[in-house]
Order: sequence, then structure tokens, then C-alpha cells
Amino acid sequence: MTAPPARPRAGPIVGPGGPGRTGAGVAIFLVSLVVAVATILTVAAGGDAREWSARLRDPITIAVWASGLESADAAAARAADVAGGVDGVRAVRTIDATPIDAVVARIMGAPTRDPAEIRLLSIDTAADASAVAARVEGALHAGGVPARIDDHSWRSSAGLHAAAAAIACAAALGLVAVLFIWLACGRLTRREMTTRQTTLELMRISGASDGFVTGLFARRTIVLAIAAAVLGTAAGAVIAGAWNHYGPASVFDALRPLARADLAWILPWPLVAGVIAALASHLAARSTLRAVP
Amino acid sequence: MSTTRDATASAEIDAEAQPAPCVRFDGVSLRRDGDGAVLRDLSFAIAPGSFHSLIGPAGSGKTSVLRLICLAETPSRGVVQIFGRDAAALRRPQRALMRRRIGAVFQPSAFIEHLSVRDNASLGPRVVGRKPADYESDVEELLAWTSLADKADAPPAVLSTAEKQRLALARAVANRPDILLVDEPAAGLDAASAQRVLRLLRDLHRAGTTVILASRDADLAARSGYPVLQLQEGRASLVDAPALETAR
Repeated sequence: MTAPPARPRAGPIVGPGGPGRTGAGVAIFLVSLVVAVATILTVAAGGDAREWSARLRDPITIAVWASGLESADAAAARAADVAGGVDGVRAVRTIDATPIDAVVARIMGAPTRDPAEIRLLSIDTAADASAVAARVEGALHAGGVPARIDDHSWRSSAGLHAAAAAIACAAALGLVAVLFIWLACGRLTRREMTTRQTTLELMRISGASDGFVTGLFARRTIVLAIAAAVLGTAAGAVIAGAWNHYGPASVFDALRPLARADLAWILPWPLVAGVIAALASHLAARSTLRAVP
Repeated sequence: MSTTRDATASAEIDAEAQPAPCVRFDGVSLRRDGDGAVLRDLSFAIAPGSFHSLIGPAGSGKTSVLRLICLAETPSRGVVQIFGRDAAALRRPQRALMRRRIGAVFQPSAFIEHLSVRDNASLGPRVVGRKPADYESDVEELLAWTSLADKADAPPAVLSTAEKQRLALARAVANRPDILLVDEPAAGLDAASAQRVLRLLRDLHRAGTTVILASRDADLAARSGYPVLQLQEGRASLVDAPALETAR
């Protein structure tokens, strides 16, 4: 006796494709790519900043640079002599040179980005750092030493201002990305429902609950958002990695080399995109359904 | 000899002899933007297990009555009671549950074109969350009953008008509704096909389903032999089918 032939599985109630899906998918892909690259940069920069924080532990940092026939080391030695004689200065240390010093010096206002022409010094103070910094700056200026001074205070520190600006930019980019995905997913869900009025009406008169219909359309948007976010994030990681290893002189040159752990920070993004897509599409579907009895 | 009775009065007489009506309209009016008044102060009641034909010319509001019964619209004024409950007072989840007890076939019959005939017929059980194993055999029976078994895997686009009408009927009854609403069952059908649909509706009525059939075709209503609710300019009067036939 032969078994009856297996019945084909029921097809999806909402058919494949639909207007706006490709556009929304591409947009989410691109946003995810930007988010991935920005996240990798932020994580790498954050790691560097933590290293800098450990090295720049004294209250004042001085950046000096080569000028004319004077080398960076000579300028650093001269700056140490001048600063050491200022009232309130307890000790002056030359910080071991690393390539990332150029970024710190650049943020502080040094005119060069060549690590070979930059030296950083740190000053320990016996009095109020801001007052001592002002006196050291005056002395260096009077001595003709090309230098910039940072007293690590929120009021005047260019380094802290740059860090705050970077954090604000990263947060703003994250918010824009979240908002964009929210709007794209909500719009896509509404559009899909609007163009499938017959299917909606048939489901409604067949007794489908709002939850069933909402889930049906929201699932499509969530799957699209997650797929586009996974692809965009992977593309972003590949681009950042390739840039880091093979690219021309770039911001990565100043940062420490990317680690695999840095890439781990972008892994949650597709999940985040999926959660945003779920919330946005559910709300959009519910509001669309509530427009009819 | 007058062949019509006031619908409200008739409903009261019916209510004395029969259980509580499953559909009751009390002073129902329906206005639509652009169309003006579609229904005016309409009152009638339909007992469970009955078979009523709703007749009237195009634009008299037949389809609107069916849409009000299946909770696809809300009246501008008056009360629509379904299974004893005021439709306006139902919350959305309750409306969905109520719709599961009401099957509807509207014109033109619309289907989900990318699904097969079988999948279209099983839409009802599927959207209310029943598992395929629970409804597959029912759907096969329905397809056999409507003579569509041999086209179960075909898309609806290949069906004839009569077959589409039968598919719409199969889909409407797949959830075993207590009330079946059928709009223009003979539209586009030849006499034999229309009779066949009418036979199917009689089968359902015999099985205990309340059938409300809306049609422009007074002949069809007269042939059904059941009470006829005549809609004229948004108002209703109840006519006995034999009387309707005599009047013709």
C-alpha cells in the first residue's frame, strides 16, 4: 500500500515582493554599513582614548613640534627646561613617543600630523592646574617654544572637547540611524498594507484578529530589516577591515590596529535593527488597521 | 391584497415564535460621504436557522446591509445587534471573534491570486489560528462539495465565474459559520449554475446555518421559497416568497 502524496505546504497569505521593499532594503543596508564603520571607528578611537588617558595622567599635557632647524626632541628638551622653571610645576616628563601622539597633538592644535615631528610632555603640578598651565604657556611663548598646552579641564581642554564632540556625533549618528530605520519600516508596512487591500479585507471578513494581521505584515518587515542590516553590517566590517589593512593613509593609521574584539561591537546591530523594525511595523500596522471598523 | 408586511412588526411576530434573533436592525441608517443616505431607519430581525432573501434594485443598500451584519461597516444611526450583542459596543478583538461566526460572499468574488484554490478555501481556518491538521480534511470535503476538488491546486484565475462563486462559498463556510451572507449569488451565472449555487445554500440551511441572500434577481428569491426582505430606497418590507411569485 502506498502512502497518499504529501499535500504541498500552504503558500504565504501575503505574497512575495511588493512596492518599496527593494528601496527600503537598500536604504537599511546602507545605513547599517555606515553604522558598522562608525561603530568600528568609535570603538577603536575609544580604545586609543583609554590608552591616552593612562599615559596622560598628569594634570597638564604639552605638545611640542619640530620647527625650522630644531627637531622635535630638541624642542621637547627646551620645553621641559622652560616649564620646569615655572612656579607651581612639580615635575616635567617626556611621554614615550607613539604614532597616536600625532592625533593628540592635532586635537590640541599642533600644525603637523607627522608623528616624527611631535613630542608630548606631561607636567605634574603643586597648585591649581589651570593657573599653572597659563603660566607655563606664557613661559613657552616667551621662550619661543612651538607648543600647545592642555590642562584637562572641561572648560578649556581641546582634547576633552574633541572627545565630547566625538561621543555626541556617534550618539547622534546612532539616533539618526534608529530614527531612519523606524521611519523606513513604518512606511514600508503601511505601504504594503495599503497595496494589499483585498488580502486585508478577505482576512478581516474571515475573522482574522488585528494581532494576526499585524504579525503577518510586521514579520515581513522585520525579516527584511534584519537581512539588510546583517548584509550592511558585514559589508561595513569588510570595508573597515580592508581600509585598516590595505587602505591608503587614513585615520586608522593613527589608531591602534583593529582587533577582532572591535568587530564584536557591531554584532548586535542587526538585532537592534530587528527590534526597531518590529516596534515600528507593529505600530504602523495597528494604526492602519484601526482606520477601518 | 397586500403582499407586504411591516418588517419590524413581522420581526416581533417571529420573535414570539422563535428563539432570539441572530440579526436585529433597529432604526439603522447609513450615510456615506458622497453617496448620501444608503439606508434609512431600517428595522428587521432574522431568527437563527432561517433563510432570508434580501432583494432590491441596484443601489438600494443590499450589500450595505450585508456589510453591516458582518461588521465591515458601522451604522451612522441605530443599533445593529448580532447574536444579541450591540455591534457598536464590541471591542476590536470581540468583533474579530464575532466575524468568525459569520461567513460572507461578496461580489465581485475576490481571491488571493498567488494562492491555490485549496489555500484560498482554507483562508478562514488559517487566519483564525487553526492548525492545518485540524482543517485540511474539512477543506477537502468542501472542495468536493463545491465540485472543485480537481482544481484544488490551480490558481483561482483559471476558474470559471461559476467555479469562482463556488470557491467563494467554500471559503465563506470553511469556519462553519452560524450565519452565511451571500451577495448576488447568481451574478454572471447561467440558470443551471445559479440553481446549483442555490442548492448548495439550501444544503447549508438544512444543516442549520442562517442564510441571508442578497440579490437583484427577484426570480431567484421567489424560487428559493423563503421569506424575502425587500429593500427600496433604503427601507425594508417583508414579503413572502410565494406572494412575491404571485405578485409577479
